[in-house]
Amino acid sequence: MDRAIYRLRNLKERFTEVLYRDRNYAAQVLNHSTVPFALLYVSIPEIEAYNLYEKLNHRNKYAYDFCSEIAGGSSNFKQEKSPREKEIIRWIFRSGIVYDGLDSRFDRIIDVAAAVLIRQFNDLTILKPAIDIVFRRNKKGSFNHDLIWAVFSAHRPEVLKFIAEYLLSPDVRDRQLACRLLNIGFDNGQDNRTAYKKFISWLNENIKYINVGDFCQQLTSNPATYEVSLENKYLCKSVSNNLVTVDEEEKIRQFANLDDETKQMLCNYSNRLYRANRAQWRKWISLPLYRQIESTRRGGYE
Amino acid sequence: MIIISNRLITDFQNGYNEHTVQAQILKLMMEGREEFRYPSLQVLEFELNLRNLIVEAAVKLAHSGLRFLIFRESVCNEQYWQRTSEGGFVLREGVMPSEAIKDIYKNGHLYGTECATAMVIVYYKALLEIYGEQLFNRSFVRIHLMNWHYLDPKLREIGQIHKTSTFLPGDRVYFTNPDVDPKTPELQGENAIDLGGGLYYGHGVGIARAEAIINMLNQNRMPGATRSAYFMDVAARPDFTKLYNIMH
Repeated sequence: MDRAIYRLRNLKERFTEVLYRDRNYAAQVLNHSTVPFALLYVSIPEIEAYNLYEKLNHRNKYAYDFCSEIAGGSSNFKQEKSPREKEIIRWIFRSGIVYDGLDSRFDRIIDVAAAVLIRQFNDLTILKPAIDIVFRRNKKGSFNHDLIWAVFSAHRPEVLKFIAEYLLSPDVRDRQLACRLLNIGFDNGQDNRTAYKKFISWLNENIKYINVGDFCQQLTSNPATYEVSLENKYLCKSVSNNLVTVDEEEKIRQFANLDDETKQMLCNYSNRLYRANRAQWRKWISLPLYRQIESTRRGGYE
Repeated sequence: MIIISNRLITDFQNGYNEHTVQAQILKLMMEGREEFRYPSLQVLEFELNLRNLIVEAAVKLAHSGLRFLIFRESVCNEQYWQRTSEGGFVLREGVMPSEAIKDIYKNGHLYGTECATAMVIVYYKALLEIYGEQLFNRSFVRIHLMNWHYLDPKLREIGQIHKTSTFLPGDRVYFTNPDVDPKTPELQGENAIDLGGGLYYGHGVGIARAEAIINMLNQNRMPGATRSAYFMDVAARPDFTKLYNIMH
């Protein structure tokens, strides 16, 4: 048995002993700030049997209602988007992931907590631990589709970076999953470091211009996860910046009519020049499109 | 438009009664802008018949008692299938694939899964009907049912979507729910089989019109949602030529 789950069983036994002696004190134990969510979760049958709900603090009542809501039963759960509720869901997730694999309902609560934090509270601090859980479950052969969907729904390129770290794993299952999620071919014979360096170098060059989409395994066997916005890369403008000037709008319009090869050539050159010499780039980008193409084909703008 | 052996077919004489699914499909193919190319008339006829069987298999599955259950709670008849730790079903050693597929239709109440897996079951049932038991059992020795994962290479294309403007009965289509409630990720969308006549079979909603499916998804959006669920302009289709070649 997993060590954390073994410790939890011990904690639960001690809690039950306290409960038999003193119901009020047992509620105080559950309300303690250091108690992990998993203890509250495994104590739900006792909370119900000993009518402890009213003695729980706000954190525990909210977490209890959250669990009931996910279980699909009648619940008092009211979704709120306040910092207080965010902290509680973060507690469920952060203190809960240690016990991932406890049972399937518990894992579902962890997945939902992650999805709520990412999709409703825009909490990006949990992306890394959520991705770690995805890989841990993959090795155990347990269900991870909902958690993968949740992390990609952040639509952030950091997700790709965290996943790419698993390209370095000595475990082939990690590398296989990382390749699938990153939509890159898996080659068991390939040196881990080379694959990682190649991907990270590409990511660093394009990170500002990447649109990360949903990873919907319900829709397709090969979900398209991310793509570089060539328009943004050409203008050297981050995808997070939605403000477009009239001049930029016109440039995008003309750029859109080009063939794919010319688009790629222009955006690569624009990006290189932007990083090497900002003043030169400003002059280049202000040229008419045909002159930009000419100068790029010649091998550079002087 | 229909192109057979590089020839555009403008007047297709066929023996299908105008009320049949096959006749409906032909009409849509001829009138649509999309090109439907075939190496021979036989492949086209095979596709029409298989699409008809896909529609029939979808309607039968809707009435089979198969329950909608998330992967974590999925259930199957353990006599024929083994449930995996992910929630998929793997054909048991020594069990005839045809018998295992038929059991889902016969004892639907013993099974519960998500919408994508139901679509895969529909395809297997339709193939069982068109191939017959012997060929089916020879062609699909191992079956692993779990959405678009672990698909048999012969059926790989049913997991791949393509943009289309011509939707045909027997197509697998998708209704997406971009603002889905994070508490119900299983309702991030609904896979469905186009049954023709504006009807769809989606596992969990049953046989319904597009508006009803969209309404169901919209009822499961997160608080403050601004975007409605919608029908995506994509379809997934098996490689009919590849499946035809297995028979010949």
